[in-house]
Amino acid sequence: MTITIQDVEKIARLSRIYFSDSEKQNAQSQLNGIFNWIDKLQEVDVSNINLTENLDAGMHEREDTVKGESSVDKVLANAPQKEFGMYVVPKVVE
Amino acid sequence: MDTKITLTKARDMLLKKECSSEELVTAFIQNAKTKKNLNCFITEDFDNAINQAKDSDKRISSGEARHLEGLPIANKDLYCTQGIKTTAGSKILGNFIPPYESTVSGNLKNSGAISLGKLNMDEFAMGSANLNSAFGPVINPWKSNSDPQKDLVPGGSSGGSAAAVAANICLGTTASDTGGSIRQPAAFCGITGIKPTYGLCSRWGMVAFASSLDQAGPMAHTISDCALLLQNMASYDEKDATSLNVNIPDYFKNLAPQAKGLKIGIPKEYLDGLNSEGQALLQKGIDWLKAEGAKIVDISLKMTPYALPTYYIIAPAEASSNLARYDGLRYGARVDGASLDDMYSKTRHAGFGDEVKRRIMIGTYVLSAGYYDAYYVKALKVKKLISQDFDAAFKKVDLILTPTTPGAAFGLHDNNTDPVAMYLNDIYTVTVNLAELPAISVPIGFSSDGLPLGLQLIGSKLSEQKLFNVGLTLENAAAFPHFKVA
Repeated sequence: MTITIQDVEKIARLSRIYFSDSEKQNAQSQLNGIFNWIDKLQEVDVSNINLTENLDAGMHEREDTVKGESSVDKVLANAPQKEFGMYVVPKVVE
Repeated sequence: MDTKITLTKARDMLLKKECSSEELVTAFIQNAKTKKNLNCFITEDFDNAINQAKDSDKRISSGEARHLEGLPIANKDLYCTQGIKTTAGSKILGNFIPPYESTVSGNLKNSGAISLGKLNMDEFAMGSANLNSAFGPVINPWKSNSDPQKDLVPGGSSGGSAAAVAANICLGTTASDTGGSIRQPAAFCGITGIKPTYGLCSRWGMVAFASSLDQAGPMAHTISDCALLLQNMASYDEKDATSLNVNIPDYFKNLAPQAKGLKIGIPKEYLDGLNSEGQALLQKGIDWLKAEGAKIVDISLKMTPYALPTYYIIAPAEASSNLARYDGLRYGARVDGASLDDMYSKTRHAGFGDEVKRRIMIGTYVLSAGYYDAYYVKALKVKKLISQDFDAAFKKVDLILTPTTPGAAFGLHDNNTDPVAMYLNDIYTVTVNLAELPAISVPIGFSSDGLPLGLQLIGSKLSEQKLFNVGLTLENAAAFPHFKVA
């Protein structure tokens, strides 16, 4: 399994992280080193393992009720920009 | 007053009115100020702490002392603390001030414990040496005999939490463990740390790294200290869907050395490649437990060689999803861009450190179309095999004993450019997270160069009391000099 520069570019795009050309080269060699090591898992026989058994064990629901106070001011305190009690953000929907 | 005391001793002193909380907190703050070079804190909260100490003193006088009343602790900067800047060791959160308190830090606050501030850590809990913090490395208070001028790592990711206890900057700390981030720094810093069963402590308000592995836990000098802290940190929390609905035992009250009649397993795969110092340390633990009536049983955990690669698929995969929220839009740092995507990409490029970017890339790759089955699904299946290994072992033994780390703390500037070499530090700890089990690291002795070494006890789910009790047997036998470091 060899990771190419095109692979790096694709993953960078999916991750929404900018990489310069030299950073891409660096990422390529490091990722190849890591995946060479991770590929050891190919040796393991997992044919007897069923991931979908016992899925409900431990999963539980709670009542969908509002608890505690909700303060717009507290939440917006961290906003880079705010107006009218709302976040002001760069255009999200084209 | 002396800060070279345990949390248990300090609590005793306060309850017997031998000192006030204000005196205690002031003394620890003074000590913290002389140790700024260790870089334990990202955010100090000393003035607030003194005010809380005064409140605690009033409660103690009027007989209303809560369980940890007036005791100075500190929180890993992974926990959202209401009104106090929280960074997770990263630049990307900017000056984020949480509008709410995490369940774990809130539980300790409600028990009367007083936080001196937010502790340094590897960024987003990714690291084994606290070298990945956006706020600089933490220095281990311990020094080697051969080179006392050399700065050593405290371990990670809870480096600040470990160093702060070892340097007597506070009596105990909150930390977190996803692949060994409590146990490994505890061993490197000569203190005690426990990762409880997955789900015992709530993850609500804890900045998420790998949701199926992350667990909160305490670090402090002794078993008794950790027992007190854990029973006050842990709680069932309906805001965390993975929180275990169990009663939290009074670990402290039920503490008693234990070993007689117990079967202790030594996994042969952990002995492969173990150096002679590690072998000698393990033998000490074996001899002490045998002397107290335990039986030693050889066991096999055959999936051990696959644990680290499994972890380095699952943890980055979950991290890539959990860290997708850091986009500069609603909070934290932002770098403007020509388009929305450009803004995201530039913000995340500037805001995340190299190790975080590396793990997001690994995670994104193993979850991407065409690779998801071969990597992520495969890793989940191997994770199940690892759990089955432990299930089979716990049919034969009560607890498992291993070294915590392959060696002692290493130098800050020791050339470590290979990410995989750093990942190998967690070789003895990672299996435990994958199997969702509890494990404790107890300081046992020293390397030939005078640096602390620890032993790890692993238990079956919800066996924390047994871990504390057998840990106490080891602690009593080891008589580790907790306050030897300046």
